[in-house]
Amino acid sequence: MIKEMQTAPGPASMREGKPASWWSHLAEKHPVLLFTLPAGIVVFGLMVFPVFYTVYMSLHSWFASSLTTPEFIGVRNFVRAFIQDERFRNAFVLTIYFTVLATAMQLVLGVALALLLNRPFRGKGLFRSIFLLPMVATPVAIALVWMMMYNPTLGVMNYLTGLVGLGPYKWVSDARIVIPALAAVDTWEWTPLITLITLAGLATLPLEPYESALIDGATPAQMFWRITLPLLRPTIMVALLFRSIDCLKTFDIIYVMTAGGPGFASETLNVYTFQVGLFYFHIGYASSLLVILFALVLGVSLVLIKVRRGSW
Amino acid sequence: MTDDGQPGFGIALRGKRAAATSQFAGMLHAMGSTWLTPGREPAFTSDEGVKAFDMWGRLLRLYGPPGSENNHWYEASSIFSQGKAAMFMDANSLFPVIEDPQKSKVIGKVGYVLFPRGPKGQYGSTVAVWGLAMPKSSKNQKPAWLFMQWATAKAQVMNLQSEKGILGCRESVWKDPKGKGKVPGDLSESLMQGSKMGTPLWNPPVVAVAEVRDTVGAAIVTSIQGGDVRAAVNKAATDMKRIMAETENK
Amino acid sequence: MRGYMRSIRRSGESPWTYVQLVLILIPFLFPLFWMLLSSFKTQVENTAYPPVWIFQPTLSNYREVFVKNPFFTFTLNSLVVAVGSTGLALLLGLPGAYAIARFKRTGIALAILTARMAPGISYLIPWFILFTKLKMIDTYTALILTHLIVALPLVLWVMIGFFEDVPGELIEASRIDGCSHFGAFVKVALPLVKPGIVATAILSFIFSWNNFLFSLIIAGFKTRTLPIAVYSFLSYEEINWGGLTAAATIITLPVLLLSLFIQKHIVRGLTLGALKG
Repeated sequence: MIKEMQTAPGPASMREGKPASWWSHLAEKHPVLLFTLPAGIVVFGLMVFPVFYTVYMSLHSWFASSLTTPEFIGVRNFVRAFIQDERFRNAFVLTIYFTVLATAMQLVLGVALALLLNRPFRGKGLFRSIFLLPMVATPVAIALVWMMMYNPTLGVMNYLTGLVGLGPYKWVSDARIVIPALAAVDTWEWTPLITLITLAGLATLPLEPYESALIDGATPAQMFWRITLPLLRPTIMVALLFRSIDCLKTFDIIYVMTAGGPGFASETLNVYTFQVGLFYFHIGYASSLLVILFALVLGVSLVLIKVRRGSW
Repeated sequence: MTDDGQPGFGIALRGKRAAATSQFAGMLHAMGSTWLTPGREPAFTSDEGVKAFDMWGRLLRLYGPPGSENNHWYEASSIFSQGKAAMFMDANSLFPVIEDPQKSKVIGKVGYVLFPRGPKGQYGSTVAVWGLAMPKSSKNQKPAWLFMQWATAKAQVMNLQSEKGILGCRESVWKDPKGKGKVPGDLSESLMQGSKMGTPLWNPPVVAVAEVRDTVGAAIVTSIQGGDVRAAVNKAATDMKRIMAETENK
Repeated sequence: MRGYMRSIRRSGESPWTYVQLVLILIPFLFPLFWMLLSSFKTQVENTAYPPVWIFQPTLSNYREVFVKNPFFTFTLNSLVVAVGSTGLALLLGLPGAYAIARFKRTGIALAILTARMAPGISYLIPWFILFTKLKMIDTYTALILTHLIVALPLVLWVMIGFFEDVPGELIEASRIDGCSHFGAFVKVALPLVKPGIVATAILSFIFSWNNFLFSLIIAGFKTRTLPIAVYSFLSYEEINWGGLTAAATIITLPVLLLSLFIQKHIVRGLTLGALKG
C-alpha cells in the first residue's frame, strides 16, 4: 500500500487524470534531461566544442597572421614538438619541475601546519579568514608585489635574507633559481588551501584508533605515521590532485613575473603555448601543444586517482 | 656614486629577450653587422655580429644592474631615472619618462647623444618609427586611406609633438620651434642627425617578427649570462632561417 | 585565577598557541602588508634601499591611480562580468547539479572534472577566432561567456556535493504531497542548500574578478577589467611602485573583504569540493 503511494508521486494534476500541460508532462517524464539541458548546452557550446576544434586544428598548420588558410598536415605537429623542438622539450621538463617542486612544498608545509593547528582555540574563524587571504587575492596583483619584493637591487626579499646573512640573490632574474623562486610564490599562495582541506579531513578522523594506540603505548610519531597519515590519505590525495592540475597549468604568475624568462628558463608549457598561439600566431602548432598539455594533465590526474584508490 | 651612498651601475639596458632585440639593433649596426644579407640569410653570425652580442652582454654583466636579463624598458629606465645608472641606451621616445618632474631624479642632468659609433666609424643609429598599415583585405579602403593621411598630416604631428612630446617624423615639424618646444635641445639635434644616417632596420625585416625577436633575444640573454656567445648566435641564426622558411614565400 | 589558567591549558589554549598562530600568519600576510605599505610611500621612499619602514604616508598614489586612469570604469567592467557570469552560472548550474545529485549521474560529475583539466588557452584560441569573426571582441557578452567556462563547472562541482546532502526522504515527501520535480527543487532543495549557493556564488565571483588570461585576450579598450589594468600599469607607468601597489591594493581589497566576511562559506565550499571527490 505504502509502496504504491511512493511509486506514484507527482503533481496532483497528473494523478487525478486532469489534462496536464505539455511542459509539466515533459518535466515529469524526463527530469534529468530538462534540468541539465540548459547547463549541458552551454557546456557543450562553450567548452566541448572548442576542445574539439583545438584537437582538429592540431592536425593542421596555420600561420594566422597571413592570408593563408589552414593546411592539413596530420601528426607532423606532434612529431615536430617531440623530436625537433628543443624549446618544447625545455618547456615540458620545466613544467614537471615546477609542478613537483611546488606541490611537494605546499603539501608538506600545508599538512604540517594543519597538524599544528588541529586543536581548539578561540578566534578560529578570524584566523581562517586571514589565513585564506593569499588564496583569494588576485594573482596578477600578487605577482606584481612579489616581483617588487624580488627586485635584485631594491627588493625587500634581499633585505630580509641579508638580515640572516644570506644573499643577495637575483631571484626571478636568475635562470638557475627562477623556478624555485616562482614555486615559492605558488606555495605561499596555496599552502592555506592544503591546510584547510587537511583540517577538514582531520576533523572527520575517528578517535578509537588513537585511544587503542595510546593504551598500547604508541609514541606520537608512531601514531602519526601509522594512523593519521594513512587515514588522511584520501584527503591529501584530493588536495594533491587539484593542486597538481593547477600547477601544471599555472600561467598568471609566471607570465607576469618573467614572461618565461630569463631567456627560456621559466617557460612552462602553458606559457610557451601562449607565445606560439597568441603571439606568433602559429595556431595549428599551438593547438597540438595544447593537446599535449591536456594529455599530460589527464595522465597525471589518472595516476593520482589510481594511487588514491589503491595503495601508496 | 648615487645620492644615497649606494653604489650605482655604469649602464642600464634592456635584456628581456624579445624586448632587447630592437635596442640591440643599434649595437649590431654600429659594430658593422646587420640582420640579413641581400640574399635574406642571417648576417649577424659574422665576427662583427658576434662581437656586438658579446659587447651588449658584457656591458650588462659587468657594469649593469643584476637581473638585467629580465629587464624591459620600464625597469631599465626606472633604474636610470632614479639616478642609479650612469648611462641608458633606449628609444628616444622614452624621454618623457626621464624628464618627468614628478618621478625622475635626474631631470635636467641628462645629455642625449647619437648611438656611439663603432670601431670603424659605423653609425649605430636606428630609425625606429611606428607606421600605419592597411591590410589588402580591408573592406573600407578609401576611408582608411583618408584616415591615414589625416593622422600623419603635419597639423596632427605638430600637436602631438608640441603638446605631449610624442616624437614625430615630419622634418617640417622638427624645423619649427613650436615642434621642438618640449624636446631637450641635444635630443632634437641627435634625432635630426640620426634620422639622416640611421638604418630603418630596428627589427629583423621578416614576416614573423615576434618569433624572430624572441630567438635573437635568447642569444642576447645568453650573452648577458656569460654563456657561449658564438654558439648562441649560431643557434639564433639557424632558428631564424627555419622560421623564415616556414612563414615566408608561401 | 589559577583555575581559569588550568582550564585554558587543558583545552590547549595556552598563550604559546597564540604565539604560534601569529608566527604562522606573519609570512602569509607579509606580502599583502608590504603591498599596502608601499602604496602609501612616495617613489623616493619606494626605491630606497635598505627599505623604509617608518615614513609619512601619502595618498598621492591613490589619487594618481584614479585621476590618470579610468579605474572606475575598470572596476565597473570587472563587476559586470563577475556578476554576470556568476548569475548565469547559478541559473544554469543549480538545476543541473540538483539533477545530477538526485538521480546519481556520477558520470557527468567526472566529465566536469575533466573539463577542469583542459588548459584555458584551449578554450581561448577557438573563442578568440570566433569572437573576432563575429566582431564580438571587447564586449561584455563575450567576456561573460568566457568567464562562464570557469564558473559553470565550479557551480556544478560544488553544488553537487551540497545537493547530495539533502535527505532524499524530504524530497520524496514533497513529491508525495503533489510537488512536481521542479517544485521539489525550488521549494525543498534550494532552501536547504542556501549556504552552498552563497559559497559557490562568492567563489565564482572571486575567480571571475581575478581572471587574467581570458580577459587579457578577449577584453579590449572598452571592457578592460581590473587585472589587465593593473598589468598594463606595469608597461606605461614605468616602475612606479607606489602607483602599482596602490592599483594592486584596489583590486585585491574587494576580494579580501568579501572573503573575510564569508570565510566560513568559502572554506566549506572549497573543502567540500575536495572531500567529496
